[in-house]
Amino acid sequence: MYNILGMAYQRNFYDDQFVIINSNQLKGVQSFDGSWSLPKNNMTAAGYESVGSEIEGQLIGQVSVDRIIIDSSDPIPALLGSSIDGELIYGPNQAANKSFYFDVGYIDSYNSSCSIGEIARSNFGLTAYGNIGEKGSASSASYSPYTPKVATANSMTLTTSFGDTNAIQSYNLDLSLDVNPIYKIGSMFIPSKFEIATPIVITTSFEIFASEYEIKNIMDGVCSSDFVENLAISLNEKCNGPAIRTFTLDNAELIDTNISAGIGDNLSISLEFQNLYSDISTLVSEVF
Amino acid sequence: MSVYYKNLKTIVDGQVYYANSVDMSEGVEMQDFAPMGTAKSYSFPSNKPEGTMNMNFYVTSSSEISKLHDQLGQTGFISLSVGPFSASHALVNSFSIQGEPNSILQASASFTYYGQMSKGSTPTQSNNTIDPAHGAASTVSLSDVGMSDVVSFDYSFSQSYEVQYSLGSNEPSKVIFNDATKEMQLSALISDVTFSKTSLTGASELCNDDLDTEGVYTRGLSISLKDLCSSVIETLEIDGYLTSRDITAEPGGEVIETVTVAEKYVPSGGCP
Repeated sequence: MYNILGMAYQRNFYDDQFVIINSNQLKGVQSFDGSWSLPKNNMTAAGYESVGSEIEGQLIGQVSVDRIIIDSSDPIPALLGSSIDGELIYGPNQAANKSFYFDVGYIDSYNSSCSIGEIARSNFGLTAYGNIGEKGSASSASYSPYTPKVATANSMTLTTSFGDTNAIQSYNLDLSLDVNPIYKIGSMFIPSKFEIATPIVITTSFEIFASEYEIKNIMDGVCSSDFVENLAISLNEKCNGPAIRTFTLDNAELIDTNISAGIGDNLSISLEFQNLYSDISTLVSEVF
Repeated sequence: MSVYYKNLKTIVDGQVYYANSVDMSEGVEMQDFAPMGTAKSYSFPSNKPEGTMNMNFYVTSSSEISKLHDQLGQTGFISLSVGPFSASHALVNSFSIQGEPNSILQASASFTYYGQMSKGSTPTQSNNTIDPAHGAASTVSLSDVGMSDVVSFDYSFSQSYEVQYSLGSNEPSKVIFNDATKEMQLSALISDVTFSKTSLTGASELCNDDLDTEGVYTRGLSISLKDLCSSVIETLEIDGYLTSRDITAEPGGEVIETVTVAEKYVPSGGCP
């Protein structure tokens, strides 16, 4: 606590903060970023120059959450394509009496990644519509302690065509959802429904230190099944424990490669695959 | 003296508009001739110059729209001024206003004037702030086309004239009104549409047994233009017939149905 000119200021430490999504306390949260901005049109008129400003555009906020994977359950995949609410709750001395709140949000990005020596991460971002900011009423949620189960890089299992003879250094899985809110005349900036553009694309990339791997000939991509393979990433609890998170990417198509060599460096190759899905429920059931 | 955007206050027949863009352009038709026995060509104007004025403007008051509506089918000239530039013999060609859910409504109007523009003194800059009509606050009443809500609208009218000159006169001697049409184009999610109410001719095509139920009958529609504080600025109305409908869709999206309702202006009765 600091005393400055008679006023008391208190900080919100990380133990004063926790994130709730659809009544679920998220585990492993490392950072939370929330924002909104008013889209003001500064109007001009001939004979006047400025005639004031008016809101023109969507009233939306952005939220991004960075997490490490420390639990076998994750509520986020099941919420893809659905309207969600949530809040960052805070308050000095775990008062939990303040929040950055949103009542309608759609997850539009999901990412998981891990490199040698790291704990696997699972981040997501969302766009919020409608009420964004202070909640206006005290939250009923409270912090619940839990015991973490850590998914470390040295305990994961990767299923690839190249992993046995080449040292995989990292993976990165990206899912982007193009969520389109539908507004109607007179809707006062509140969308009446949401549509998710298709195809939904997941890109998965690996970086390897190459031993045997040779980059495929691009012309073979014109008509060949060699560019398609089944990938799987199993994040296991440390010390050869059970899987706490898996990603299954059948029929992944190789779409991008890069080879990099230099004096004193390991020869590295990056491989990027993509999977296409026509609806979110199929994606969730097949991938997560 | 320099003239800037800030000096171009736009006035139509005494009504001030908050035009965010305005332009005037004019030309003259030249008659060319070359008499035999000379190696020269001569030109002279066959009529007075004619020009057009176009403006896009914010809708802030009922009078801005009614001033234009009042010109439907009228053959009397009105005056235009854009800052120091003015024209005294003008006719309204068209007016339109488009609405999108999260946007400030933008209206536009087009005029033809006869005789070249003149330049007077340059007005000084005016100061004001406005609360324009907005798509987020405006409301619709479209039950006659079976729509509960719309995702966009486009209201317009256009009209045509024939301006005649007489021998021995520089001024237009007569203005003959040809025709005018009001149109309202509406786009809605198919889930917000009673599809049968948008049938162009009813279930039995051209027969009359569907009159006043589905198909061919006049549809009374209205859109109330409001600002973000929900104050009504003006109500656009049309009482016309369905003339077209379109179905479109994009990947991942719901079908959008667009219908057009058109009303022919009748000089004796006028538009409502």
